[in-house]
Amino acid sequence: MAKRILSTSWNPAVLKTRNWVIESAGYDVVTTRESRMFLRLAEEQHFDAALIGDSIPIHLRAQLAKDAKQANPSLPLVIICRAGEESRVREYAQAIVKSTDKPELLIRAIQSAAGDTERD
Amino acid sequence: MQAPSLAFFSPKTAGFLFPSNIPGYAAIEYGPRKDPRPEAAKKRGRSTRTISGSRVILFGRIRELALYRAEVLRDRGFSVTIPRDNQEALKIIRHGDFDIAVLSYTLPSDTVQQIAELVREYRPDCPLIAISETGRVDRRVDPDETVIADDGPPALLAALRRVTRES
Repeated sequence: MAKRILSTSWNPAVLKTRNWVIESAGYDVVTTRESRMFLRLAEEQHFDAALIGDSIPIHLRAQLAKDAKQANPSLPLVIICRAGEESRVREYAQAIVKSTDKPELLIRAIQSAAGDTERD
Repeated sequence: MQAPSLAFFSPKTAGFLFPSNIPGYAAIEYGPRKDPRPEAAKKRGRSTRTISGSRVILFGRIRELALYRAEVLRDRGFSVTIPRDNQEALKIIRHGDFDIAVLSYTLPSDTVQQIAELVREYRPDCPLIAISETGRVDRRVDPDETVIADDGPPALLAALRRVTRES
């Protein structure tokens, strides 16, 4: 059974294209663009990892990561950051990926966060 | 043949070509167009260029999105090049090392037009796909196919299938 990834971003084009890449790596992706829905899903459903995209402004991304950790402390968070943003979210993130990193690095981060080390 | 204009690499426009991590870019990408031209919102129909090659050159301002799009296209068998800077873009266009050009309207419309002109100059047989946030494109760009960005990878792949079908 495929592992489940919760994914959020404000940019629909980035979100859909990124999700395609994650699904191609063998994951089920559940998507929302709304922070409240993201937190609700994080609290009420099981996900192996959650992904927060960098089109959400950093102060809101940090707050969302903090709230997600409060809602579900065991949910690993992968947070995409632009240059200089890492320190704002480091305490909440299982893994941080730069927005300019190749997609393979994002997949590796998701694999690591989801405890999925057997995939290629 | 007259040498192509290099205006697209002028300081005014070149800076918009490939930077990423610009704060607020999402608002830029999805904000209202200042100069909508709805009459140009159509694909070329019968005159659409088709080609059998699979080398794609991808132009866009948001590098993250370009990298994901490239991954999607490579997964479907395309060979994808994303120019890292203006010089590399010009070199690739001049050499004609591509079969299909994909232009994103996350770039300023003037830059899109100038890139399109260069592509037409050096590869007049090359299909040009525009990715637009609204489906509207500049009449002067005259793409063979127009894709709405929010429709995601299926729409882009469908456009690529249309321009790569054997005629």
